[in-house]
Amino acid sequence: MDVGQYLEIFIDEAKEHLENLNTQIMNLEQDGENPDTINEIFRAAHSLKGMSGTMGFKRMQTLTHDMENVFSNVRDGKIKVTTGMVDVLFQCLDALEQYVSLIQETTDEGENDNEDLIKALNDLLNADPNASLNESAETPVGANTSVGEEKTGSGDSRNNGGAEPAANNKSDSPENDAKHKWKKIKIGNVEKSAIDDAVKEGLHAYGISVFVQDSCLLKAARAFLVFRAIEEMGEVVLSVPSVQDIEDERFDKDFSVIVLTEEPLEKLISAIKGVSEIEDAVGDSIYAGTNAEGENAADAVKDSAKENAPGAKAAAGTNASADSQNKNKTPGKTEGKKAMGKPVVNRTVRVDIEKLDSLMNLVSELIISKNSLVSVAETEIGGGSLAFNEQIEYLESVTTSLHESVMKVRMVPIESVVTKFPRMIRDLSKKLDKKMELYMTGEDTELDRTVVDEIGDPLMHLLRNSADHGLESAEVRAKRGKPEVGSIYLDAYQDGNNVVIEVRDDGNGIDVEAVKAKAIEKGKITQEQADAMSEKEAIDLLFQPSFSTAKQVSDVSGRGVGLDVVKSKIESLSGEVEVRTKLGEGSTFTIRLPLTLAIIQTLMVIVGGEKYAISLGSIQTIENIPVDEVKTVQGKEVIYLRGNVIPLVRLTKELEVESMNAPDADLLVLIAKKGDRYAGIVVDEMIGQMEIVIKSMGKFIGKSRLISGATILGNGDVALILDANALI
Amino acid sequence: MGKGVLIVDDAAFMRMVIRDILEKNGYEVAGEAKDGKEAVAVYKEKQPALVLLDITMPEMDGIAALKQIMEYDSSAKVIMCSALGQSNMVIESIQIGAKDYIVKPFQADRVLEAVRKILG
Repeated sequence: MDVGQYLEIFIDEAKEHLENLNTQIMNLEQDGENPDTINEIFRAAHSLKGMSGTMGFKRMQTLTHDMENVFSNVRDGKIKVTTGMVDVLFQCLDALEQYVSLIQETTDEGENDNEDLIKALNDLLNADPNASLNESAETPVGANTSVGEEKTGSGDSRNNGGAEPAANNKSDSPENDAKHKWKKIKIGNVEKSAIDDAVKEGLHAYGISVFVQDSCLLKAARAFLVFRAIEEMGEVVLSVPSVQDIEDERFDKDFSVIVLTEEPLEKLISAIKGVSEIEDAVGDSIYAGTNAEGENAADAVKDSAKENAPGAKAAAGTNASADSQNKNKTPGKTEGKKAMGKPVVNRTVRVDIEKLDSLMNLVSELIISKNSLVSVAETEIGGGSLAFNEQIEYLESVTTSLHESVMKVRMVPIESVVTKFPRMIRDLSKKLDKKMELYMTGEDTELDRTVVDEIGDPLMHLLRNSADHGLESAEVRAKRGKPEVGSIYLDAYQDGNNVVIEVRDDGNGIDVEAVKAKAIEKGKITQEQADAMSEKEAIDLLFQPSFSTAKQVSDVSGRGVGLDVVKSKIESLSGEVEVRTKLGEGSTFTIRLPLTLAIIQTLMVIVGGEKYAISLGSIQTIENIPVDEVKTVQGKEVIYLRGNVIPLVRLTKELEVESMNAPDADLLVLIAKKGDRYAGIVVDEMIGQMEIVIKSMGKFIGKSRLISGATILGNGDVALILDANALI
Repeated sequence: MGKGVLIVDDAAFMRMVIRDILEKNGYEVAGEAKDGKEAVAVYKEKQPALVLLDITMPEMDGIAALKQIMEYDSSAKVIMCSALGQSNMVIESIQIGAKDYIVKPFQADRVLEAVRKILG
């Protein structure tokens, strides 16, 4: 089988299953008895087994098969969940991840048989003499995934027979009868009278069930060939599933028809069997059976034709079981009927991120173009007509919502990144021999996909840092009266135009004096500098390259690579990191990331005759301050505002340009906030709010502390974007 | 009716694979064509007993070629060669008059089974 075209979807799906397994095995360790968890693990392993088998990845198939076996025994209560088992399962998970990543790189699963794991799994099984391997492979399947598993024709009808015992009455040979699925076709009034008329005219009415081979590809076309073969001799009055469903390949392996023909049944059957890849075809006259069956057909008239069709139901059951059967302890009649032969509609599409990027670029261009229209309207037409302005405003609202929609499309929950953390903490806990627990909230917080892809490593660094350096050993914790198990928290939430992710622990906190001592020892600062340093400045030392306060180098937090990498990574995403700490009580690392990187709402201002954009997100209020209210504290200009002392930053001074305002004119002050610090940014003039597209400054202009980028204005001018955070 | 099988595929590799399968099992190959246009021309010239017709081809695709062949000879025996996911096109070609279909990548057994059903 040529599997290349399925590879991408296989990898995507396999990863989803692995993530799910990871979460569920974590849950299992908490509660080894929870049937939902056990079922979910069983189902994920089962799906993985099926998928990898189809793709021809034999090793992966074997491993998942053995995992499935263990779980079927757990579910049947034959073996109990133990810590040892969870360890083995995690190792299996790692091995599966390796297979998948190898497949992703080389399209092959590699040569590693993971025999030790297979053996470990089998040991788990054999721990109990009652656990027979063969039995375990089959029995549990029936309990929960029956509909999906029943692949053979007879299996299917047995299943349906169970659901609808009334329809399957008085059959003396159940085996044979099971194949005659057409007997369960409900014949509607219209068809019934057509059949009766035809029979009166001497035609035969046959019911026929056709089974295609397992290996058959393009079943719909195969079925179509069968229909054509039948129609050369007669007329198909009814088909189950419907012809449309068959053409759309919404059937499993068989379909049934009612045919009106002059020809004998044998000829019809042999013509059908003459079509390639047809496994079997069985049929009989629909009136040939016992009286009871005849009545059955007559009774059936009351029901609508295709809704209760067995074939359709089987197909629906298969679909339903693929996705949702795990929730339903008894899939079957009700579920099958609800699905009504239509496959569960897939409501999502996978889109290449590059396509979204190009969409985003187009939206950016549209916004620039809209901005130029706005400026044309303001200048050349001189106010323009009312209608023109109205349209411009409308265009503005449309581009803004378009931007928001595209942005939303690009947003994914950070869940995909954080789900692996509980497992990591568990492993760390064992490795470091410290008891700890990770609590996470806000996993559904959404961020731009590109940002989500990047924050995994920084967050992992911070968590490891907390586990290794933050949390104290059990003895120290006991001495300090803290609970024996250390707590690490990961909280994510949206805050205005930012997403905030906090990594918090109840450990030792940062020992500022130790940091200073270390810095002096490393020759980064002198003793005098150290004495003059505020606590905050000292903590900032941690973010310098190759700085680690851990007395011992462990292989967990590495050798001082970490916090500086975290910081530069976050800053490359236009975010920032803040640390709050209290010695002996713990520390909090706060990461603040912008929701989007490309288009932002800004306040356009004029300083020294030039236009600048400042992100609106960082501006709290805008104040008019008379010059005589400016006070000087320690040589710095400050203002008092609603009880706060706020330092003033004169942009003319920072940018080294001349203010155009008279020295005694009132000051226009933008109050900006960063963390819990404020600053008043003094500008010459304000133009207004504007949505702008951030363009990078290019590599040739050295990094400026104040300028975070540039943008193209409506009239084609370029305006620089000021980074308010850098001014504070 | 003429003799042999006409193999139509735009990929020389595929034509070679099919030719090998047929010749190794005692079937005669009447000719090859690399697109629909050529297929129709060769069909008219050689009147082969059977055509193995690829669907996706440049110049003229298999469906269009099938239409012309069926118009020229309503008793023509054509087996469509399709890829997975071309279900609709296969059904369309069966409506036009194709006798059977095989799905790429080919399994020799399946190719032979289809050919045997038609040629005996």
